Formats: sequence, structure tokens, C-alpha cells
Amino acid sequence: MTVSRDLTPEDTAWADHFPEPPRINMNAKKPRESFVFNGTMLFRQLERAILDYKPGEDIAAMDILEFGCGIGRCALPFFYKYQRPNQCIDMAAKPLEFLREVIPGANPQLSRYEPPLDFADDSFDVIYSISVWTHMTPEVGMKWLHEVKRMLKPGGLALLSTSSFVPLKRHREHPERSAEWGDVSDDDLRREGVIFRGKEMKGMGGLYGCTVHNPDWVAEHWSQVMPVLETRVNGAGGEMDGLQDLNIMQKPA
Amino acid sequence: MTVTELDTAWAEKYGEFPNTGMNTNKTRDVFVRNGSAIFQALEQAVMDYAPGSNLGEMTVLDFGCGIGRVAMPFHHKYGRPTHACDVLKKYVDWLSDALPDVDIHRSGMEPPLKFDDETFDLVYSISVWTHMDNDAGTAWLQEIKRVLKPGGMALISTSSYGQLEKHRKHRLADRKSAWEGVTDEQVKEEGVVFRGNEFKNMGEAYGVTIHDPDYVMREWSKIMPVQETRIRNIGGAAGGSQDLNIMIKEA
Repeated sequence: MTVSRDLTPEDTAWADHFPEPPRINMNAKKPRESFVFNGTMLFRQLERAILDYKPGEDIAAMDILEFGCGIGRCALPFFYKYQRPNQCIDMAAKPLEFLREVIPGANPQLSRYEPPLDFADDSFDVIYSISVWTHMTPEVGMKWLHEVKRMLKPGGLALLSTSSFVPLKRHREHPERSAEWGDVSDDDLRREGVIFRGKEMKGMGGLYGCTVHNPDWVAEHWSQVMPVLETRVNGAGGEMDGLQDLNIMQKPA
Repeated sequence: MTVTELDTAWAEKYGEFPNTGMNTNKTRDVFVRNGSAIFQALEQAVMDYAPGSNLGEMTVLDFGCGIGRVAMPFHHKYGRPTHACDVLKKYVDWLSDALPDVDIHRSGMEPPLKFDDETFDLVYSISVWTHMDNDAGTAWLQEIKRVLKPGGMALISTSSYGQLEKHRKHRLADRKSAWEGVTDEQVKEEGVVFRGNEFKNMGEAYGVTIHDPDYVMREWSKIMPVQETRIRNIGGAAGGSQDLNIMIKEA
């Protein structure tokens, strides 16, 4: 046996099924390859986490919200297999136009900088969110955690990614992309728990930037909103772009 | 991990389990439930990192098998592990009878193992690094790396803050817990905290160990890359949970 994370054609069939999204990851050397690989891996880890905590349940029958869908890196492979998420939101209007065409059943809608959203209390079995808390200020992040909890059904799962030491290292090593991170050490993150560097962004409604979270800090502080059952450090998938952590939370029944 | 539907059929197959004298094994139900849950967590980790591989064809070592809490459900489904070891003779004897086609032997408190370099596709070890001091832990990590094939996986559990909290509250028989006063901050600072001689008849070298996950990721990766740490993934020891460290030997 060799330990291999190579993807099979079956894994990536979704990418050929849907038209190519506009403006995929501009930073990557091979944008399409990176988009397909990361999307597949992220979806796989989300699927795995859902099945771990809701074993035997039918994902295709769940109410699922993707919070921060972008151009559908996760939503496309997810929808291809399960016709889920049945709701997805993002703050950027342009990508939503694309998603409305290719996966209208996912109901792509515009989100806001701060809560609330229009969904009723106790609406979802699963809310997942990749590369979203990695861009919010800690204060806004906390407000959204409460909102996620409100929208989850009792016993519902939140799967939220955060960045810790691997992405922080990447920030440090790419000053051309993120100069403001050059002086942030791992020990700074251990000491402070969460570090945000960003600025006022036009049309955004507030500060936007990059956020790194120490997994310990997340477990301690986020659990005050909703229990963090498990933290998969480096386990969110999508390693081509730097690994994120997957925080698995459950709204008490 | 929360597991609501467990395959516990293995428990009927392998007969009556001996009482190992540990709290978690007092009742058969807890033993069976934990064994099934731990096995599933391991199986899933392998499938995540080697999705196209067949576990039933791998060379697998259970390092610290005890009386087979994990080896039995594993064997029931895949006919694996191929090999197992433990420091306690009575466990090795019992499990050798229960799993006659598995090569089970008694290992020493220190390396080496009897195996050649690059023997195993997978080595898993549950509740073992949770009982060794840091020097022994480091020496055994090197040894696990040696016996793994290039590209092979090690799945090793550690205890962190949830278990520490439990240890602080837990009093051993008539004496105070050695963990009273050991704070989360101390573990963060030191990375690893070990308290020896916590168990009767096991000697100073056997105790209880708490690892800071961040320390494990950082320091163990110097020996073999820690790909992922699943904090609170292993629903083992009654009520508590352990972290699962997924390591892959470089090809």
C-alpha cells in the first residue's frame, strides 16, 4: 500500500459536469487544477465530518446552508453529489450570478457584513463555512457564531474552518501578498489566541482582512457559544492553498 | 467522536474478556463501545489519507494492544492487525488465544521492536503515549518511524486538556491526584507533563502523560510529519476523549 491522496476521476467528475466558474483563485499557479483539487478535498472533509457525527443519516435529505459560498468551490462538488446545500449565501454579488445559473437549487443569495440573516430559527441540520472566519474580525466572527447557532436546529452541526499555524507561516512567507503579517510569529498567535490584520474595504460594510486562530483559543471561546466537539487541525482539506482547521460544533438538543 | 450506530458484532465473536483491573473495562458495554468507536476513528483516518487502499491487505501493527479493545473490532472487519505487542504478558497471552492468526508478542519498556526496518504500512497506538514520559515517547516515535514503510502511516493518540481536567478531579483510591494543581498553562508552557507511578505494580516508568496538541504538532513533526491532529476525536476512556495524531513517514 502507498498512502496516497490522489483523486480519482470520479472524485472530480463535478468539475467537468459544471461550466467553469469565472475568476477562480487568482493567486494559484494553476488556477483550475487548484480549484478542482481544493474543492474536492474540502467537500470530502465536510462530508466525512457530517457522516462522523450524523452516522446513517441521509445528507441529501438534510437542510444545509453554505455560509460564504464564493464561486462554489465547495457548493459545486457538494451539490453534484447530494443536491445540497439547499441554501447558500455570500457577500459578493458577481459569483452568485454564476451559481444561480448552474445550481439554482442551492438558492444562492446575498449576505450581509453583520447578522442577522433572513432565515428562521432552527432552520438547518448543517451549516458549513470554509475560509470565512479566516477573514472576519474576532468581534464580527463572534456575532456570526451566535447567528449560526440561532439558525441551526437543535442537534444541528456547524462546520467552520479557521486558519492557524500553517496559513500563518504562509502569510509570513508571502510578503508580496500580505505584508502586514511579516512580523507575526507563532508565539504571538499562541499568546493572543486570535490575530486579525485588515482594513476598511469599499462596499464591504466594515473591516476585511485575514484572521488566524489558535485552535486552543477557538475551543475555549467558541465553546461558550456552542460546544466545539472536535477540532481537526490541518483537517479542513484543500492543502494546495495552505491547510485550515475544521471546527466541528453542535447546537445542544 | 460521537458514534450512534456502532458495529459491535465482534464482541460476540471473541468470547469473555478478562478483567484488566482498569476502570474503563469494568463493564463489558463500555469496553465494547469504546473499542468500536476507536476502531471507527482509526478506520476513517486511514480512509481519509489512503482512500484507495485496502486495509485488509496492509501490514498493520497494534502498538500497545492490551487485551485487544481495538485489535478485535479491527480484526473482525479486516483480518488485521497482522502484528500486535504489549508490555504486559497476561494481555499478550490472552489476546494470542483470542486472535491466533495475529503475531502478538511482549515488547519491552524501551525500543527496539523485533521488526525489520520498513515493515509496516500502518502502526496504530491508542492510550500508549498517554502513559510514557517524554524521553520514552520520543524514543518510541523514532522506533515507529523505523518500522514504518516509506509513505506508511502512524496513528497515535494523546491526551490533552479535557483529560487533564478529568485527572485533576480524579482521586486515586486514598491519595490525592498527582495532577492537582497542574494547570492548563503549565501544560502549554512545558508541552508535555508526565506523572509517574500512578498505577499499582507498573513502576515509575509507567504513568499518565498530558500533551499540548500544538507541542505535538511542532515537536513530533521533527521526527515524522504530523499531517493532522484531530483534537477530541477518540471517544475512548469513559467520558473523556483523546486526540488522534495522523503522521506519515516521508516516501
